[in-house]
Amino acid sequence: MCWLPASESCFSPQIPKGRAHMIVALEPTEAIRVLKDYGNPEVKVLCNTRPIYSIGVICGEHTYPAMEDVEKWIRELSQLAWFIDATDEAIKLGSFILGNVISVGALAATGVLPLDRTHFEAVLTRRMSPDKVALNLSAYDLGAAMIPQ
Amino acid sequence: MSELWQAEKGSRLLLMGNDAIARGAMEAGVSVAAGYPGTPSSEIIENLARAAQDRNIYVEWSVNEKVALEVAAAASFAGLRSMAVMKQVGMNVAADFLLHLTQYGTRGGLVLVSCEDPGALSSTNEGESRFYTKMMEFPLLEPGDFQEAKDMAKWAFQLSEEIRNLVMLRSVTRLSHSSGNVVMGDLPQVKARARFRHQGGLLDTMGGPIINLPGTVHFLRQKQQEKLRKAAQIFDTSPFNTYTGPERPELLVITSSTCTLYSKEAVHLLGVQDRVGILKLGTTWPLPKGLIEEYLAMTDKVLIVEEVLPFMEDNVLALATTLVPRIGAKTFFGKHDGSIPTMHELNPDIVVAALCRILNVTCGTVPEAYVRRATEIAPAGAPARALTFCPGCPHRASFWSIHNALELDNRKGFVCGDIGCYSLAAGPSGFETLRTLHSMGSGTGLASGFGRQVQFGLDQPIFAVCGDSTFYHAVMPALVNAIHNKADITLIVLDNSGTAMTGFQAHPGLKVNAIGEDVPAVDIPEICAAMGAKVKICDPFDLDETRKTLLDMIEEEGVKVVVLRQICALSPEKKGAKAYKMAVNETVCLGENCGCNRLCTRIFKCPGLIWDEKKKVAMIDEVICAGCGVCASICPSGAIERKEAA
Repeated sequence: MCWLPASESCFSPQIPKGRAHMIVALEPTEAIRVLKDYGNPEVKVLCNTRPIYSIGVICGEHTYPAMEDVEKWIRELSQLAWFIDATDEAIKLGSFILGNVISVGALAATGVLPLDRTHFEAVLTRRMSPDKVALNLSAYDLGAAMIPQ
Repeated sequence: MSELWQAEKGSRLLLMGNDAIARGAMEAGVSVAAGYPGTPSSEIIENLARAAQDRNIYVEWSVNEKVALEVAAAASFAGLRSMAVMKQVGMNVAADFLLHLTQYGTRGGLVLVSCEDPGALSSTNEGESRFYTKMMEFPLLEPGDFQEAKDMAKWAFQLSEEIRNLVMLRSVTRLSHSSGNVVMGDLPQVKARARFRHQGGLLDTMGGPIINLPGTVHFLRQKQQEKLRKAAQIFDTSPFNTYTGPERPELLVITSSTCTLYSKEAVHLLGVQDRVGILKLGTTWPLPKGLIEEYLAMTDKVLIVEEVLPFMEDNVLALATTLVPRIGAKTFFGKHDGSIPTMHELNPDIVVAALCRILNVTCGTVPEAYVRRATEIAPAGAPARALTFCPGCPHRASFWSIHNALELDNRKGFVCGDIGCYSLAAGPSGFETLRTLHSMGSGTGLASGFGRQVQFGLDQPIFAVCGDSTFYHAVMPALVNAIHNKADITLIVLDNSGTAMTGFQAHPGLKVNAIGEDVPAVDIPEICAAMGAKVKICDPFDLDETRKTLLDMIEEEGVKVVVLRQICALSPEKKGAKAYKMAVNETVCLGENCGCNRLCTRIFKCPGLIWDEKKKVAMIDEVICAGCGVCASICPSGAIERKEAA
């Protein structure tokens, strides 16, 4: 888990408990794990729907919850939640790892943070070779399209 | 990230603490930097290594932290500015040399960076290194935020030259690995010239030989203590000690390092800026006595917030006792009275709780109903996620074979563990194979000890494991000890071609070093054979061959070394390529009727091999599977198929 305190009135790199405004979960049960400590009635959640099974689940010690339950619980513990199939779409684009960038596009489209495509493109261009920029922008746009406006 | 050394003065970058420290060193004109990989310190050397050519810096991943400090010291002795970088445990390895180094003193500015891990997020311990500065009498600096990480790293070199001794710069995970805005300073053109002046007299500390002798100890220690007093004077007016708050605070918080940020956050959350003042110390040893007296005099209550042990607290308490006749007695809160925990990392919530208690205020929290519901949901909604080896990790395969060989041997043999990713083999992902785990190289040392207990009836086969980097770091002397003292042990070297745990840094087993030079690789099997051990090399992915080799070696006398050689799954060289395409044949898989009770998922437990609840068979998770092919050898029915990847 990473914290991203992003405002002038934040000092600590760690977000205080119960004070998250937005939780971005790359995996569904992780959303619940983080909601327990950092959630509150006003929190919003962006959640990738693809499960990654822990070895406790794989070896049969624990049971992975049904997706309908996970979705129901996440909605119960948040003000607003979006569920996206970032990994599946990323695989269609060429690599599952693009799911992360799809999530960034989706996050920007939720409007919860002051992010937009021009910023993302500027950072991409600074940090990546031109051939990678195009692919990442497609992933970003795909993610953004997943959020109903 | 060449931005780091190309960004001009005045430009603002979002930097990790470690990036900022590297930039600060470059702004000071550092010429030599040496270290050993260790979380959370590694990025400092990595950054300097990337800048090495452009900025004319010699950067080295040394074989261990003691040698790293010696390499940096040599540079200082030759008049160059140098830096040694390590995590808290590395400080202990460097400590012997450090004692002698700080007693004599330095020439070119030398900064010793220690990055600690409060909460043991990436360590097997929660050790502290600040006490070295008090015990060995040299100054300690603690940056309180990301700008200071840069500015204080830069200033540390100047300070070191002013007092002619090295300076410790202490960081912690949440400073080293968090990011914040940093404004760049000037990058000088460095014209460093190395010359070791040693022909002066014995007492000529800048031009004579650099020697600690019984006869000169007291001369040197007198100088050493004068240097410390000089530092204390400088610290009394240092801009890195700051105060924010009312003139006469009801409560004075004295804090340092990232605890500054937690304290600020806590004061802000509670809205008690008019009651609480924060004295942030950047120079924490020796204490800036005049400054502290000034602020203690303004209040009756003091809360000291630091990680991990009460280093600053004890020093302030001792000072405060001597000040009583002048400013009166104060009430102290901190670790001694339980306001702040004595272990684990801190966070804003801990400081909030302490402030609420002391100031008698309450903090708005999440509604109880929410907390209750979240707690209810969590066990089913978020099943525990234990640590495990990566899919495709050679260690999983190695420990599968080692564990099975020991079980087959059936004499309660055991493995003395060591430090690296393979330390996880103390847990379920490595089949709980490790039975001891301490510091770098200690597995072989312990095994050497166990190996001499035959005369007391110890008849269990004794194994030690170590990684390739660990071998060079500390295992070699222990292996000599075992061979020379006829301790009948088997050392298994898990050679995955890099210092993997910390981010795949170079080590002497590789042909390329930190700065990309072509260098001679020092061959582990050859060294072991030259020492006098019996050596075999195996591919741990070949389970049959590995198990056979281990069982054969157990029968042999003397010291045996088995090198299990297979590259790390995450190695940059691999570029994420899969060797095999894996699939489970649903018709062959016996599912829950598998005689070994789902051997693959229940026992082998690779995250890439999951259980299909609906069809009741095993299946490959395509996104997670790394295509190493090992699981095909696990299934007793041969239901797991592997095809060479295109």
